[in-house]
Amino acid sequence: MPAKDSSVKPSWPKPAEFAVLFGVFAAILAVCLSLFFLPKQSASYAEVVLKGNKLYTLSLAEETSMEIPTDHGHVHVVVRGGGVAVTSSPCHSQFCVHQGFKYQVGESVVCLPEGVAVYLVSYGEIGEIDA
Amino acid sequence: MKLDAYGILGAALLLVLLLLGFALLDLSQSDARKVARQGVLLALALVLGLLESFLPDVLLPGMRLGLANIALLLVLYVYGAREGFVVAVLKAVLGSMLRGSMFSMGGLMALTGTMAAFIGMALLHALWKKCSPIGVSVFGALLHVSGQMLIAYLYLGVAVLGYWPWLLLVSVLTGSVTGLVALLLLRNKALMRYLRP
Repeated sequence: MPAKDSSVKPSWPKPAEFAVLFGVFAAILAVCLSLFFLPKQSASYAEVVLKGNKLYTLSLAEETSMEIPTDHGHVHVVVRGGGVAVTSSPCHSQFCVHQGFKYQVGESVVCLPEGVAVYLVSYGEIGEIDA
Repeated sequence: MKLDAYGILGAALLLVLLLLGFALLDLSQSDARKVARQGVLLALALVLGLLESFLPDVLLPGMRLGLANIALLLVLYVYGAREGFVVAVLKAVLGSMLRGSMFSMGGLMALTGTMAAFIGMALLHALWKKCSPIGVSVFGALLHVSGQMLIAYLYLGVAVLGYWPWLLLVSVLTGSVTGLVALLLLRNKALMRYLRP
């Protein structure tokens, strides 16, 4: 009978491995839940970034609408009711459009295929604002 | 075809990885049958990667099961890290070519994710021999997502970081599934007789 090649046939996870996997999952879950449930500050401004370059800093107190030109068309950004949203995009998934309006500090709307990101900040995080 | 800075960076990285991969291979010891079997696993990785693009997203937009990682795990466990490295690079290259995203930011993200995942899996497999394919696969999935998130961060800035914990959470689940499938395949005697002629 040929000898078994134990280096090829792996075994089922041992208790130590299960413990590590569970610990990793629990830690990540704790971070996610804290991000979801912790109270957040209402944002004052939205930074619009195109391929890493900041284009605009929009005040959420003023309703506005703008078209961001991208390689495949235009991404439409709207500020309304103290929040910001992407209302149209030429991307295939439309994930950015389905995100809806964002209102709180740290939230963002990202359209990766078009390279557009809208990130919400508070007044204290803004340097010099153009009047 | 537009070639931006990320595309050029991706092409340069690809060239370096290919050269490194072929330098690592000891072709004087290669068995033609073994190389052919590795080619079959490479084709399997490519087909699985294409197929899952037609499947719906896993809980989060853009999140995939990572089925191609099953083939990479088989190569790693059956043939070793050197051969697995070459298969991983070829999978990243050919997969990007098939999707039409080779010299673009998307191609760079795929390449970074695949290589980060494979190098991490190979290191874990070498350092913790008792770790099962499930643990190795989960580690690879976490690194895959993190590698892609790094490129996205360099591309779009801090705005993308809010998605990272959620992507990590889902990748633990997807990595467990693909690792389980790989473990069951590695314990299949008939398949192992075919892969190791």
